[in-house]
Order: sequence, then C-alpha cells, then structure tokens
Amino acid sequence: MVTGLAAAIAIKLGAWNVGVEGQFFMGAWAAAGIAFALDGLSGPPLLTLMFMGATGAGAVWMLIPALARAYLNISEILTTLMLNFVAMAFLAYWTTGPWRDPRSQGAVLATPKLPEQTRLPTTSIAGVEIGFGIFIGLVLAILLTTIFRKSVLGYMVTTVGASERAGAYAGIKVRRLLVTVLLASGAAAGLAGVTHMTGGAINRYSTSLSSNTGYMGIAVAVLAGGSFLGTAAMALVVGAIVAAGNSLRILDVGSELGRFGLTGFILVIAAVGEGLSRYRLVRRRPIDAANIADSPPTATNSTEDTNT
Amino acid sequence: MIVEDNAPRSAIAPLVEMREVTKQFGSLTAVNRVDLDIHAGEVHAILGENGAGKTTLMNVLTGLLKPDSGQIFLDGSEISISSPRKALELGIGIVHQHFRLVENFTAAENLHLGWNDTPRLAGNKDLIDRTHALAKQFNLDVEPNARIWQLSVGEQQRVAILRTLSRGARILILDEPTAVLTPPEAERLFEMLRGLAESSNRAVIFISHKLDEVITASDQVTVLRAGSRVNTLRTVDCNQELLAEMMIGRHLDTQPAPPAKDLGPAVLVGKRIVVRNDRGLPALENIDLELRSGEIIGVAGVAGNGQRELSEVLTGLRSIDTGQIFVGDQELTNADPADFLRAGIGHIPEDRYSSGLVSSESIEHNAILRAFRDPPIRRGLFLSPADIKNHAEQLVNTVKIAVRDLRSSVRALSGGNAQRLLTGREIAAASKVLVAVHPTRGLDVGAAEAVRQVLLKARDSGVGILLISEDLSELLSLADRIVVMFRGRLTGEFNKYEYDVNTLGLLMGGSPVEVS
Repeated sequence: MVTGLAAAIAIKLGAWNVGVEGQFFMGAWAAAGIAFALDGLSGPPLLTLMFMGATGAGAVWMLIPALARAYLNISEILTTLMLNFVAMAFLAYWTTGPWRDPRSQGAVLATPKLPEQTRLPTTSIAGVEIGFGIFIGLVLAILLTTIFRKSVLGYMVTTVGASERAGAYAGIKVRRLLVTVLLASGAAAGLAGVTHMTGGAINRYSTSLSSNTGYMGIAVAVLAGGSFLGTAAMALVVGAIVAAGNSLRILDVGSELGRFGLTGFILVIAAVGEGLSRYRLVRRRPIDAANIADSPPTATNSTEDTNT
Repeated sequence: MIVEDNAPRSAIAPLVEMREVTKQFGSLTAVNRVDLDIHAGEVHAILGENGAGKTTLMNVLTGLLKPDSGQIFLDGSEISISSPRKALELGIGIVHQHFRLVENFTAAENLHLGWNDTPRLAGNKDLIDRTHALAKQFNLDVEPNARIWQLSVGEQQRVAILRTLSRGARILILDEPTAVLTPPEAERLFEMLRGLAESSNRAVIFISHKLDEVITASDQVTVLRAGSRVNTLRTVDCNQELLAEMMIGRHLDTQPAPPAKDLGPAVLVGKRIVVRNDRGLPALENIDLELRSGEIIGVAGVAGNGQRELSEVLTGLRSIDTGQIFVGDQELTNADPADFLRAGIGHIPEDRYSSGLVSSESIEHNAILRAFRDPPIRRGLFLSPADIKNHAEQLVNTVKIAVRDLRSSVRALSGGNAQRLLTGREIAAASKVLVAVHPTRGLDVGAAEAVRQVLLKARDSGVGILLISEDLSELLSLADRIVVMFRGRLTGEFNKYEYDVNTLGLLMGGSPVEVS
C-alpha cells in the first residue's frame, strides 16, 4: 500500500518513480542498521529512529535521479530503475558480509532476525489478521490527500502536474518542486521498506522482504489513476488477493497460480478495461456517401510504418 | 492606386482551379468563396496576414480539410480530395513548416519511409543509389547518408521537398517555407523552386506573409484578407506598397481610442537586451524600450520575429544574455517570474490555454494562480477554501462572465470567456505593467471589444501596457506609440496619429524604409 502511495506522489507531478523497489530496500537497510546498532533501546524510541532512518534513506536513494531530472533533464524512469539493481547488489553485500546471518545455510541473502522489540503489533478483526502497515498506509493516504487538496504545496503540484509552462508562469520554481516531490516519493518508498520489515512475517533485511512490492505499487497507483485514497483501496484488494494466494498454497491448492497468475490476470483486465473505457461502442452502419463525407481526414505519412 | 481584378492569365488551361471554395469553423468563415488558378510552370505566392485563411485554403487543396462548398478542378476535370494520400496520388503534395522527418534516420531512409515504390527488400545501398538518382532528377542537393539531425534546417527542407516530389507531386505546396530559414538559405530555396517550376512544368505554391520574398520569388501572387481573396496579380505588376495595402486593408472599423492623458514615470525599461533562441540564433538584438505609466506601446510585426521572446524576457520567463531590465527603479535583470509578479507585472501570454490558464483545472484554481501566495488566500502552509471562493467570485463578477459552477474546469468556458477571465486576473495583478500578447486573437468581435475596453481602462488608471499584436487595426486603435519588430530588432517608432499604414506594412515585411 505504501509503495503504491510512493508511486502516486510522483505521478501527481507527471513523473515516474520506477525505483520504489530500490528505495524500499534502502529504507529497510537503514532501519536494520539502526536496529542492530542500538538494540539496547526499548521498542518505541528504537522504532521511531528506524522509521526516520528509513524515510531518509529512501529520499537519499532518490536524490541523484531527482537532481538529474530537474537540472539535466535526464529521464527519472531510467535512473530510478537502474538504481534498483544497485540497491540489490548493496543488499547482497551486507547480507553476505557485515550482517551475515551465521545460522543461515546455503545462498539465502538475509540478516539475522531483528531485535524482538522492533516488531510492530498486529490486531485481528473478525478473525482476519491485520498488520500494522495497513494503518500506516491509511494514515499516510489521508495525510497526502489533505496536503494535496488543501495546501499551497498541493496547489503548486497540481498546477505543474497539469502544465509545466503554467507552473513557470505562475512563478513556481518548477525544478525545486520536482526535486521536493521526487524526494518525498523516495521517502515514502523507504517508509514502505521499514513497515514491511517490522510489520510483516519476514523480520529481517533480506531479498525475500519484497515480492516485487515496489513494482506492484506502481501498477496499483496507475490503476487508481494516481489518487491517494484510490491507491490505498486498490492496494487492499491486490494485497488480499496475494494473501489469499498464500493461504491457498498452504492448503496445497495451485500456489503460484493464486499468487501471481490471479494478480496478473486482474491487473491485465483492469488495465485493458481502463484503455477500452475511452472508446464507445457503436453499431456499424452500412457505408454511405454521407458517412464518407463525415469521416475525419486520414493521418499523414508520419504514422506509416517503415519499409527499411 | 486602382486595382482591377483581371490578372493576365495564360491561354493554357490552369493545372488546378479552385472555384468559390468556402470553409467554415463554427461561426467563423475561414475561407470565403475563394477562386484560385494555378498554372503549370509558375511559382504562385499566397500572401496574407496570420488568420487570413492561407493555410486553411491549402489544407482544403491537400485533402486535410473538406470544403463546405465550392469545386476543385485538376486538368479541367472536377476532383474530390478526400485525404492527403489521395491528394498526393493526384499529384498535389505539401511540405509543411515542420518537415515531419524522422530525426534518427538518414535522408535516404526518410525518403523511402512509407512509400509504395520502395523495393521490398532494399538494402541500404539500394536506398542510397535511388536517393542519388532522385536528387539528380530533380536537381536537388541532398546527402543520402546523412542523418536528419545532422543536417541544417535548409538541408532538412530539401529532403522533405525531394520526398514530396519523388512521390509524383506536380503541384508542390510549401507552407511558410522561409519561417525557419536564414536569409541565404531562403535565397537558395527560391532559386531552386524557380528552376523546378520552369524546367519540369510543375507548379509551386508557397504561403507567405513576407512582402520581399513574394516580390522576388513569385510569378503570380494571390492576396487573401480575412478569408476572402482580395486579388490575383502578376508579380511584375506589383510593388511592396501595393501588396501591403491589399494585405492589411486600408479601412479601419473602429475609431482610434483617445490618446493617453497623463504620462507618468517610466515603469518598465529594457536596456540593450540581447537574447539567443533555443537554436542559438539571435532572437532579440539590442532591444531598447521605455514604457511609461499610463501609455500603451504597440509592438507590430509578423509572428516569429522575436515577440514571444520579448514578452518572456519582460516577465521573467526567459533569461537574457546581455542587457538590463528595470521595473520602476528596481532592477529585475534575470529575476524569477515570481519577482516580476511581485513587482506588479501582469502577463497575458500567447498560449493562453497552456501557460496563462491551467485548462484542466477549475475556475477557482485558475482565479488564484497569481494570488495563491498571499493572505488571505494563503494561511500558513494551507489555502483557505472560503477565501479562494470569494476571490474567484469577485473575479467572475468583475469580468462579467456567467458561470454556473466555480469548480467546473476552465476548458468548459468559451474562448471569449476564458480570455476575459485571464485578462481580468492579470489586470488585477498588474499594478504597474501589463504585457499583453495577442489578447484578442481568436475572439469574436464582441469579446475582442470587451477585452480592448478593459485594456484602455487599465491604461487610464496608470498601468503601462505593452501590447504585442499582429492585428494592425487593433494597434492603430489602441496604441499611443507603435514600434515594429522584425528579425529581433525594433525597426521603427511612431506616435499616435502619425502612423502610416503602408510604412508599417513595409516595415513588418522587412523592407527598408526611411523613417522621418
């Protein structure tokens, strides 16, 4: 859910943060480092420091793409995507080197479990286990919606998102705003990383922390049309499907089918539906003279395909 | 001078005839019962101001637009041109202002792209050989192996022309071909067009609003004004004064507005401003300008001669290379747009729907585009919805537009109402200076008049207004002084009642005129 919100923040400005996955892991890295270094602290202060560190790390991981986009006009899509691989290599270094889990066998890239006091509580409503991450996501979604609709910053983001020229005309410092918003997107992705690590089943800094959560977040945000509350709702649905897939696996019913097949299927249907909703069904009439007269002019040769 | 509409025609039947062609867009008649005869072997210029209907007429001829009425004949038989592809099959081809070439492909590849005559399995060498042969056949200097982005604009244009010719165009149309060319490139183009028309019995049509190039490059000239054909003449019978008079029209519908009463101190001063455009060519060269409180300076000129850059420089949207800008006694050289705004400069931009207004957003959103930084609308980090509503309501009432819902998007407003909204907002922001670019372009007569009245009222309240317009009659009516802009320079200055339309027209077309 939080990864979806991270992507949605950038979308508001017409930018694409494809590096949510990488910022997610960097957030988890910073939080894990803080937890290992200060494991003498009690839960609340330690968790606070971990969350701050994670958002900071996510933002720092976005710094280069943000500055490159704003001042050198280098596509943030490429830079953020490529930094994902760097983040994974970074993870491989720490989990095989300084933070290697001495008890792990084989090639699992994971640190030892985090100190027990860093686990976020879970509650249970009507027999369904609810992770703390959902509350963080909902609060963040409401907070972002408020900022976006009511604040000066939100007004500037809407304006520049609709037209960069209009933003410059209104006296908005477009580059600075772009950097701010992209960093916020990275920070939210870092927040997602620490939330998953402290609130989920895998309580360590590890490759298995994310099952493509970062990429899924982008898809969810796009499906929700970039709306924060829509992203939150959409994330609940997709999250439920993935969780259901896991349960099915435990019951030994088609595992990967549920996890990925079903999710993918729904995403594809939704995306195609989105595209098709722009068209209107019309009944084909016999071609007559009037119809030809009304037909729009055909495109010029710029759209023709190549023979070379 | 009396002009008779009996241009000498050759005895041979014309290659193309357009008869009483009319095209309307809504209530606007873009082309009104226009006749046009194009003969083989001639270079025919279509001359007119922006909005005179030149491009619309050519779009009809190339099948991009369907005429509402009228007929088109090719070689004496009536034809119906349903699409640009059909037009090219019939031998009518156009080279647009933007050439529509693929930047990363070579000239040879662009030439053969999407062409039925391209051999199916042609290798690169075949394409290059074919291109060489075609270039030779049409006597055009094209380097087949060069990628488009490596070529100068003039060379790119030759590739585009060769592409059109090699697909069998007997009538070659060029839409403002010199707009993007340097003067030597333009000269070379016209030499080439002349050779092409004479040697191969093709017809060349070019659209222009520059008097000098029409005189030097064409055999026949058709002048359009406000959608109607004024006349068709042999170019040898014309001079620039005659053409300027026909293009602009002598009569003015409106009485000139009363001149400014009290001129105050200088509110906007530009000193020796030099700016290069995005291609590194000079866009503004040594502009000196002094605008005083309570006057309107009109900037006349054909679009693309530096007006856009001038307006951007004076509102902080574009930085300058050398020179200085002062607002009042405050220097604002290369300051932010926000600083210009704070200093009391309003701006009605040329592209009102993409920069002056955020068309996808609400009227409320747009109403506060200039005021959202200041209280009472801004309350700390947040905006006050009640004050936004108040502000928007006040603006809508001031400019007298009927709006059902302040939250509906600006896109839903008519062009006239959107422009009134923008004008009202900018005048409120303009405590010292208003830079207005084509403020009435595209508006109907009533809406245009309303905007003009608002400008005059602002002037009388002490605002200095820089009015950039292509509509000469508007400038004649409103401006207290007129300067003419041509190729990045200010080429003339006239005081109210000292204007001479012909001289203005000549200066706008780039003719050297001795100004007394």
